[in-house]
Amino acid sequence: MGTLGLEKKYEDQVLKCSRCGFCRVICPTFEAKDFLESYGARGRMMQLKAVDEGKIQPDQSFVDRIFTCTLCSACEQKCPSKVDYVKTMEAARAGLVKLGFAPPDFAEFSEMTLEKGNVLGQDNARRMRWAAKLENIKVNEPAEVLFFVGCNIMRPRVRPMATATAKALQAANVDFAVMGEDEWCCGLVFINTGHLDVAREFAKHNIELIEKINPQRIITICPGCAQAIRHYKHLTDGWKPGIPITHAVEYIAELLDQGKFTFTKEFEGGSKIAYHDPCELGRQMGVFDAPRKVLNAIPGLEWVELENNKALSHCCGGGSGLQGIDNELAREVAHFRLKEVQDAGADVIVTSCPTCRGNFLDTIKQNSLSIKVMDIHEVLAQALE
Amino acid sequence: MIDGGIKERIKSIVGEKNFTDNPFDLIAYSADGSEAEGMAEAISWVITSEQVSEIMKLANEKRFTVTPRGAATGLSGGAVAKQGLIMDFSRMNTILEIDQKNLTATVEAGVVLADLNKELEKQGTGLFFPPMPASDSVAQVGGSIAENAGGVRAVKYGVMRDWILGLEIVLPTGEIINEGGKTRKNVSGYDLIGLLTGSEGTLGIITKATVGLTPIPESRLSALAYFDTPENAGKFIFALFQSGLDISAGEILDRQTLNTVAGYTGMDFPDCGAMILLEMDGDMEDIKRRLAKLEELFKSSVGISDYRLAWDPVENLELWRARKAALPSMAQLKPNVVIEDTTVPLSKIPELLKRMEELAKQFNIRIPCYGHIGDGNIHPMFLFDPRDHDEAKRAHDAVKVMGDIVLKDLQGTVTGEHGVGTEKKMFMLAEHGQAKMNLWRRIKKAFDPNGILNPGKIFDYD
Ligand SMILES: Cc1cc2nc3c(=O)[nH]c(=O)nc-3n(C[C@H](O)[C@H](O)[C@H](O)COP(=O)(O)OP(=O)(O)OC[C@H]3O[C@@H](n4cnc5c(N)ncnc54)[C@H](O)[C@@H]3O)c2cc1C
Ligand code: SF4
Ligand code: SF4
Repeated sequence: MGTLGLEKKYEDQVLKCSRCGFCRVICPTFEAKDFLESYGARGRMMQLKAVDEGKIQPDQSFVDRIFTCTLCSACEQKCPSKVDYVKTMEAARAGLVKLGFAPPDFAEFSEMTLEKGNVLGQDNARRMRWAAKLENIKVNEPAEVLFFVGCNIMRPRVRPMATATAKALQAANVDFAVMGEDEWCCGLVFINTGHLDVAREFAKHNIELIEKINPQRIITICPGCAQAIRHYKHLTDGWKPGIPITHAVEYIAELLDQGKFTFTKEFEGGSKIAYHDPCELGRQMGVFDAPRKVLNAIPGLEWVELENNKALSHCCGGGSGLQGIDNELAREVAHFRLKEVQDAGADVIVTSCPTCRGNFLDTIKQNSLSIKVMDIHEVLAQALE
Repeated sequence: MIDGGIKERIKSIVGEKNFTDNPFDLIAYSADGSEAEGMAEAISWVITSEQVSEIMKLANEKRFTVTPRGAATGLSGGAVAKQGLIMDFSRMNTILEIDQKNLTATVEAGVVLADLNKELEKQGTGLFFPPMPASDSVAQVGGSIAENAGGVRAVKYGVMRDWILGLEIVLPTGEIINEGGKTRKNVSGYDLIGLLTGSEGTLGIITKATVGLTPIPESRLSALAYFDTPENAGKFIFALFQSGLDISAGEILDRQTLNTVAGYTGMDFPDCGAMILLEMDGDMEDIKRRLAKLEELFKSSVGISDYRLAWDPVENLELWRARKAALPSMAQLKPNVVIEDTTVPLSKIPELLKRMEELAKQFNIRIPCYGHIGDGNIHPMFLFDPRDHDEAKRAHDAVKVMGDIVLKDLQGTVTGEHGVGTEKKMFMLAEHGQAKMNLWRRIKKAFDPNGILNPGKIFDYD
C-alpha cells in the first residue's frame, strides 16, 4: 500500500491507465483549463501514481488538481483500458483527507453542514416551505414511497420542483411521505470528496428515518441524493434497504406508462428545448429514457438532442462540489455545455438535476446568455398547473 | 538547465498563462502512451509560429532542450522529455482554410485529426482526410505527421506522408520555412516534407500543414472469416490481393486475441487459428457486387471454418465489435502492455504469428497479436503486471528476441507506424547499420547543430 493507502483494487486501476490520452477528448475540466493535462483524467491518474508511490509529497496545488475533477465519469466512456476512474478518485481523495489534505475551507463546510443538516447552512426548518400550499403531505409516517427532497430545496427557486413532484404523486394516488425538517443532507459531496466520516453521520441519521417510514421505494429530485443513499451500504455495516432508490423522473415515467395520470395542458415553455443528461442520472445510473418519455408525454412540447447526449453528455460543471471548490472553473465548464445548446439552436435547456440547473443559471447570468434553464420538474409543474 | 531567468524570458514570449513549472503539472506531462517516462523542467503552450521561432532562438542561445508535444498518444516515447522544455501544441489549433476547389485543408499543428473531419462534414464539403490512426479523436496533425502515422485504412489510403502537400516548419535554429504548398506534384529541391514526415520532432517543428482531401465514400461494408491456421489466413490474403478486390481495411486477430476478447465480452468465436476482417468502401451497389465476389473467394479458399458478410451498416458495426474490443480486453488481463509495431512482408505474416506464439511459450507470457494484415503491420502485445518483476522482465526480454526475429528472419521492421522514439532505439543499429546511422547523425547536425530539439529520440547523436 502506498502513501494514499489505496486498496489493491484501486491500485490496479491506477496501473491500468495506459496513458493513451483518449480521455482528452471528453474531460470537461481539461477543456476548461485550456488543455492542461494535470486537470484531465490521464494527468490526474499520473499524479495519483506518483504521490502513491512516494515520488512526490502532496501539497495544495495537488489537492486543487485532484479535487477539481467533477467525477462526471465521461472519461470512463472513452477509456480503452476501462479504468474505474471515479471510484479510484474517490478512494484517493479519502486517502488524502486522512493525510490532512482537503480543499480550502472544507473543514468549516463540513462542520456547518453537520450542525445545520444542510449544505446551505440554513435553518433546516425551511425544508418544508415548498409544501406550504399542499395538503395531506405525510411526514415521517409509514408510506409506500419516500420522497427524499434534498438540500437544494432550501433555495426558493427549487421549491416548485418538489411541489410539482408531490402534485404528480398525488395525481397518481401514490401513498408517499417526506422526512420534512428532519431530513439531513444526503452526504454525497462528502462521499465524493473523501470525507467519509462526515458522510457516515448523515447516512446514520437518514437511515433511521428511512426505517421509520419503511418505504417500498425511495425517490429523489436530485440524482446525487439517490446515488448517495445507494452508497449508504458502504458507509454503514451493510445496510441493505432492498428497495429501488431512483430519481423521481423514473418513477413518474413509470406512472405515465401505467396510465396513472396524463398531461392535458399544452406546454408554454420556451420555443425550442434541449435536454441535458445529468452525469449522475444518465451515465452513472443509466437513466436516459425516462426524462425523454416525460418530455414526449407533454402536449405541445418540442425538444432536441444536444450533440453530446446520453452516455456522452458533457458535464454541467457542478459535480462533486466544484462550485464550492473553484466556482470559476465550474462556470467555465457550464459555459461549454451552454454553447452546445446555442449550436443546437435551442433557447431552453432542461435538466433533471437541481445542481446542474443552479450552475447553468449562474453561468447564464454571468455571461448574459439568452438561454433559459429549467429542471424537468419545473416542466412538470407547468404541465400540471 | 532552465533557470529562473530563462523561465522569465519564455513567459515574455508566450505569456504567463501559457507557461508552467508546477511539479504536479510536470508529472502529468512525464509520459505518453508508451512506457517511457521523464520529467521536463517546464512546459509552454505556443499559439503562433513566431513564438515557436523565438523559443528556438532562445533555446540555442541558452542551450536548453525543447520537446514538441501533441496529444502525447505516441507509443514510442517521442513526446517524453527528460529535461528542458516541453512545447505543447494543443492551444495552436485553428483550421485555417478549407479549399474545396483544390481539395486541400490548411491547419495549425495542434488541430485534432478528427476535428478536421468533423469540420469538413459540418461545412458539407463531402470530403475527408483519410489517414486516420485509431487515436484520431485526440491525436494532432503535427504529432501525426511527425510520426508518419497510419491506421486501419492505410491499405487503401496510405499514411500521413501520402497526404501532406505543404508544411510550415520552424527549424531548430529558429528560422521559419515553408515547403510545398497546394500543388499535387512538386519535385523542386530536396523533399523536405518527406524528411520531416516521420522525423519524430527531431529535425524541425511543424507549425502548419496543408493536407490533401478526397470525397467520402458513400458506404462501407465488411466481411469476416475464421481460418484454421494463420498460414491459411496468410494464403488467403495473397489470393485476395491477386483477385483485385479493392479493400479499404484488412485486420487480423490471432487466436490469443480472440480468446482474450471472448473472456472480456462474452462473445463466442469458433475454434480457429485466426480471424480476418475485411472492409470495402465505395458506392453501395459496387460494394455489394464485390462482397458477393468475396464470398466466392471465401468458399473456394482452404481452411475457412466460418464466415460472415455484412450487407448493411448495422451488421457492419457488429462485425467490427471484436476488433474494437481487442485493446480494452487486454487491459483486463494484465495492467501493462508493451504494444509492438512489427511490419513484415505480406508473405511472412503467418510466420510472424507462429513465432510470436512460440515466443509466448518460451517466456511464459501472453503475446496476443492483431493488426493490419493488408499492409503487414501486426501489433504483438506483450502483457505483464509491473508488480510481478519477474514477469515484467520476461516480457521485456521477449521484446528483444522479437526484434531479432523480425529483423533477421522475417526481413521486416520493428516499427510500421508508431515510430522509434526512445522505446525502439535499441533495434536501430541492427535494422539500419552503422553507415546509415552516421548519415543520420550528419543530417541531424545539419538541422540542429546544438542538438537541442527532442534529443535522445530515434538514435543517440553523440
Ligand atoms: C490506443 C492507441 C492507438 C493508436 N493507433 C494508432 C494507429 O492506428 N496508427 C498509428 O500510426 N498510430 C497509432 N497510435 C500512435 C499515436 O497515436 C500516433 O502516433 C499519433 O499520430 C501521435 O499523435 P500525437 O498528437 O499524440 O503526438 P505525440 O505523441 O504528442 O508526439 C509524437 C511525436 O511527434 C512529435 N511532435 C508532436 N508535435 C509536433 C510538431 N508540431 N512538430 C514536430 N514534432 C512534433 C513529438 O515530439 C513526438 O516525437 C495509437 C496510439 C494509441 C495510444
Ligand atoms: S470524471 Fe469528468 S472531470 Fe473527472 S477526469 Fe473524468 S472526465 Fe474529467
Ligand atoms: S483513457 Fe483511460 S487509459 Fe487512457 S489515459 Fe485516460 S484514463 Fe488512462
